[in-house]
Amino acid sequence: MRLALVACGLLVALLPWVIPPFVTFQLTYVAAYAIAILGLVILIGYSGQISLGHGAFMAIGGYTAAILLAGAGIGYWVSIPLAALLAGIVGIGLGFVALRLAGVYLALATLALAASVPPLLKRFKALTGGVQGLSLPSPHAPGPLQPFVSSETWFYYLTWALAAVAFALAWFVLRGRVGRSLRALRDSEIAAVAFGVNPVFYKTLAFGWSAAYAGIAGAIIAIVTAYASPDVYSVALSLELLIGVVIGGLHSFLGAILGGIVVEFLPLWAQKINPAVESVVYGVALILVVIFAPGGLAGGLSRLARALRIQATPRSRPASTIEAISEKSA
Amino acid sequence: MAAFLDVRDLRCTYGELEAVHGIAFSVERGSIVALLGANGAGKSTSLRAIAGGVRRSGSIDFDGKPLTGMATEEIARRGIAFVPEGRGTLYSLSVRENLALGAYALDSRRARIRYERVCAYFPWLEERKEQAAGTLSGGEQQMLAIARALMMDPQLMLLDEPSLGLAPRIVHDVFELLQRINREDGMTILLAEQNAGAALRASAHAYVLETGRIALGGPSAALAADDAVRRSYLGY
Repeated sequence: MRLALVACGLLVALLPWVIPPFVTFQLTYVAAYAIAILGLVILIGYSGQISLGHGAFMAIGGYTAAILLAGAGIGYWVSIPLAALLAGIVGIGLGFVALRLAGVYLALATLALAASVPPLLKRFKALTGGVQGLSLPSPHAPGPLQPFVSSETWFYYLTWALAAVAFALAWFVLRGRVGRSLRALRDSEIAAVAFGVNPVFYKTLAFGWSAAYAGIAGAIIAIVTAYASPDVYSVALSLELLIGVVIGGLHSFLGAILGGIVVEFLPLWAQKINPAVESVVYGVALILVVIFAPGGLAGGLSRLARALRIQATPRSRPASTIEAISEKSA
Repeated sequence: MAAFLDVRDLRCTYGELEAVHGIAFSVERGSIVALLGANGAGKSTSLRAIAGGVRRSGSIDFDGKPLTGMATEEIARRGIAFVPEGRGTLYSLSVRENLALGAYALDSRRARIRYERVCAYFPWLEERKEQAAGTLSGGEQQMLAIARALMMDPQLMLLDEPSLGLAPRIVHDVFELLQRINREDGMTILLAEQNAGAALRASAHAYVLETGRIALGGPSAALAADDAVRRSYLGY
């Protein structure tokens, strides 16, 4: 496990030096989507609530960063955390609504949020730039590094570092009491509450946390494209995130990264097959995963790993028996 | 002197609908009391009213202090453990995590002491602590639910239909276990049960509910001998 993490870290660190700049740019997107999808893993996988509206939180994050950077000239070290904070606060608000809604009704309420944000962004022109959106300065590496690191590579590193922090935080928090309480509420709320778990606190926490991650992702995407527009954060984005988390794996951190890859690259692969059938490819991929790998790609991979391990064990067992016998005879 | 648990004029409503129409009953400290009755008689609702899960009026006094107006979490902290109908198994959590939830309100030192005590009743829990609770059999899940309730070191245990969906032999085991906990820990137990035979054998006192009202109440032995109870609930 530790070895695999180190290997992945090295791979992420070395990739920009061997791949074309455009792919580096795409992989920055993957990390951003992975952060947003990790938010959905927390919300859907751990706490059992659904959101069809995470694109809206990405919009809130994206525009917060854009307005701070373009309008006020505040750097991204400050504007990304503020984007997370604002999206998180709105998320907590929606979390309170979610306490009274469940299943399909919650899905519809969050979908309504996703649908209402782009028109709102178009309307308040003075702040958001309306239909045209906002242009931001593109992110450069700090002065002394500039001759060595291109701005794509610099922001690629920054995004993956943020993703690492987001994943590590989620891992630390979810492995203990908080994760257990969320899963307990999901499995049987009546039992969890009977032992003193506060459902209001944990369920709104999950919503706020998840929305904050989406806000970070939205801010990164605005900064890396140096542009924020209402069309970037459409309802389709919310649905793509949801498809990403289902295909990647609802209950797994690895699933969040695979989901990020799916959201970024699946439309491109689909277009290569045939530009007219992009949504069909999406649909087919989703159906295949739901049928053949209910735990998503991550669930499928871990099942595969387990199957290989089971196959490997009987081979080692006779050997040890032979050793034991030979030891005895010796 | 007032009883350990004293329920008076309890009314419970779901929206516009009143499910329990002003019932009164009491539970003495250290006893087992059963609420009997058919489906929809209001047994579960009455239990949930004590645990804090439904809208209720009237008075519920526990150990001399009122419970009405308290939230579910506060009631749990007062020492009332609730084993919901269908056991409330946390399917994806391991046996150990299920037990940890039971000790949610305890500090880690007390939780360890309780864990030892609970494992004395259920030695198999220790061996299977990493197993996902959803993969246990129905009877094992019921035992786990009782063990989880014991983890919080309660003063009073409420059990909703502990026999639901279990084979007769397992039902026997569950009731035997409850009697043992009652005897050895002095645990006060209030249970709602459709299986009147098993519940009357295990309990000291019982109340029969019919459509939200108490039709009969008294010592379990007397109720078991009552002709009307026998015909309606015991079937002989």
